Amino acid sequence: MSEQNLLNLPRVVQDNILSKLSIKEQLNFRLVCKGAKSWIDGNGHRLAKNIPATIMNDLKNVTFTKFVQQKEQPIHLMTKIYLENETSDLFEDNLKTKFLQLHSNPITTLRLKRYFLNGRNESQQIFLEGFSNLRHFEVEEILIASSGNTDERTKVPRNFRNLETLKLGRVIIYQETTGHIFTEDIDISPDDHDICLKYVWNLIDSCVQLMYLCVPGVTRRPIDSCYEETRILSYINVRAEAEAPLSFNSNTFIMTVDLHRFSGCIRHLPHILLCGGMLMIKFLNVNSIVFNSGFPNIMEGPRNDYIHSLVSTLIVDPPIYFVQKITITASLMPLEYIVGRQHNAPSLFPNLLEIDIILDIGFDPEVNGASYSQDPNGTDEVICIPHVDQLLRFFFPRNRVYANCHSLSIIFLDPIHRYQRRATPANLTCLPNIISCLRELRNLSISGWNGTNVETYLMLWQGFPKLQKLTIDRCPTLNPKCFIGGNGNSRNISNFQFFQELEFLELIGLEAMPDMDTESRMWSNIQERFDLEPFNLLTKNGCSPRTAVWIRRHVPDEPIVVKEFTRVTRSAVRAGTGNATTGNKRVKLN
Amino acid sequence: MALVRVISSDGAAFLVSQRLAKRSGKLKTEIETFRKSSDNSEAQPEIRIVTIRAEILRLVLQWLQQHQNDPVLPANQNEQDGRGDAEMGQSQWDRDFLAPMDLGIVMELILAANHLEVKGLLDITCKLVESKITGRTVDEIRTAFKLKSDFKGNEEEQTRLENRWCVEN
Repeated sequence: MSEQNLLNLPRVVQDNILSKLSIKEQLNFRLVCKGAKSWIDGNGHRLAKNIPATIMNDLKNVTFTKFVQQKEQPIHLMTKIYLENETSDLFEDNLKTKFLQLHSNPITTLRLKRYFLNGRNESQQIFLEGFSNLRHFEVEEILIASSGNTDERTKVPRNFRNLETLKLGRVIIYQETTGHIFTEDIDISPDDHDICLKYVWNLIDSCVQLMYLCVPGVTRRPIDSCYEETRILSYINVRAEAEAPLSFNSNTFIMTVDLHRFSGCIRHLPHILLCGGMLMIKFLNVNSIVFNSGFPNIMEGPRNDYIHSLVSTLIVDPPIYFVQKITITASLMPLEYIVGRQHNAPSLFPNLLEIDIILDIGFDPEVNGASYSQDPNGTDEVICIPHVDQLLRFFFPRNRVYANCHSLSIIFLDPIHRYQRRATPANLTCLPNIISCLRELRNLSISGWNGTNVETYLMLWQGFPKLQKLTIDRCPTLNPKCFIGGNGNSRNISNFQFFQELEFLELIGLEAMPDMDTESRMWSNIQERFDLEPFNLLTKNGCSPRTAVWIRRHVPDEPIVVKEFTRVTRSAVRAGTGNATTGNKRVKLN
Repeated sequence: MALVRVISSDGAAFLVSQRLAKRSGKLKTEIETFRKSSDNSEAQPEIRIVTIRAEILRLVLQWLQQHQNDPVLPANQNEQDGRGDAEMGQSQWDRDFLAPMDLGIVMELILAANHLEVKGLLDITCKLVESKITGRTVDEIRTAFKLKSDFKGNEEEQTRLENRWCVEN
């Protein structure tokens, strides 16, 4: 038997061997040869090459000290970290060098909550330059000290030249001496605005090898205009000139620009699209409002493959063969609106792979438009969203199939109170249509659903038998009954068992789902019965309290019959409510 | 006693009781399929295993013979009480059974146990492989599994740097 057999064993056998090795032994085995390294790294759910980022909370100037001094057995190799920093104090931590020495090498992805672009940022710069293999950098907020700073104090880390991904968040001006953040635009002087423009584009221009650039949505805030379209066009031109010798006559895109919600000012957007397309730039999240602005030919002709995905609900006329993703948005935001025409939507997007449905605050087709109150205790302001159901029925007509579409995300979003989804309707009346159109669905994500009707969940479980990955994010009414219940299907089994191919279940934002006590006996029973194995590789010390992930290794042999009694023990105080119930009680599950 | 004829890839036939053979998930399925498709209930099933040679098949059957009275482990049984399946099922006989085998034979036995769905045997053979990795230096592992380093340039050093957080912590 040749030695290759060790590295080419069937997956189930690899998993069996790997599960018996400690992390240290696995890492040691990676040093044997390339095959051993890829064998270990390839079993991602054990050694976590593909796990979510390690979250590091801001503990001021002892953030890295605490992390380095932890004595527990490490759980996984960190390749992605997310620093939830409020200030730059954590970069003053004395043990940050030790942290970098131990951990920086495998880290390729870094996300900061706040990035201080100018001012006293030397420590931050030293820290960032310590990541020699950094390829992906993301910031939620860019903080720029108001005027009065000198250019000499503003440097972009040298390793940013090697970045492949740059995702930038909104810009915030602050007073460096006091830390005061200017929240009102009237406080921002023209000089400050110029500084923002200069520093933000100095950062972007320094990243000369970007393959992916994402800038935030443009709002009416003047400060956001530092991401103005003309500068993006300029950057695209520079990159295209630099890459032209390599990409001339090539069909390979030189980079991707994510225009997420870039619809505030569309003066130059059609021009950017046309030029970028010719210069081999691929665009994500193009707002389809652009097609209603006097540039109808943008999607026609032999070359329209540079638009990867469309945002908004404006319907375009010609079939768009290359669009792989659409985001259907029903929103109160004035810049997005709904236009429905009598077209056959599936034939418009024949190669669609992903669909996102984003529904701003609740709609309820049964009452002919939704009501929403800005005041949680009153009804002083009511806004109606008409036609949402019609819109979804347009995209998901009966007897149409998006044959290639494998991914669906349904997001209920409150643009005013982002984490309050109280206005979501009791059920989605168009859900049967959506299910019938997406028979090949593999990935489903549902976020912010606050409907009280368990039947909606049961319908989802039953409707997508080929699902492999399920993510539920901050759905306050989710409860164990949604997993055990059946709705009278002919096999009289739990609807969740229709997921014969489910491999990955993720619950995000557990703090917002009070009935999902993952420590409870009931949930333990569910895990056991569906053969869900906890996947605790999110942080160095174990599972994040905010997220829980399970992987499924086997499909249960016996169907789980509904209409049975299960003993439930609750002894923990429910988070947020302060209510406690103790002892045993019998609960009928359906 | 009902018998079944199990034939290896190189043509060697082993006559074993159906009760013993059914401790293999694969053989159990084959026997039941044969029963359903056969008109003669007395007919002796014949199962050809084209991926397992005689020497390995004999070892599998020998192991099944030794463990014929053990409780059957479910295929998806997870580790419980901090003990792996291997520790729960491994006996002195198992250790003596595996001791003289070189790793090449063990690899074949792993593949055979996996193919024939004999979970207990799969567990103890995987445990043996794990023991050849645990506590060994990189060079010792290379020697044991006859693997050669094919890292180029500073790739091995780079991998070592990636491991540093765990090794030095």
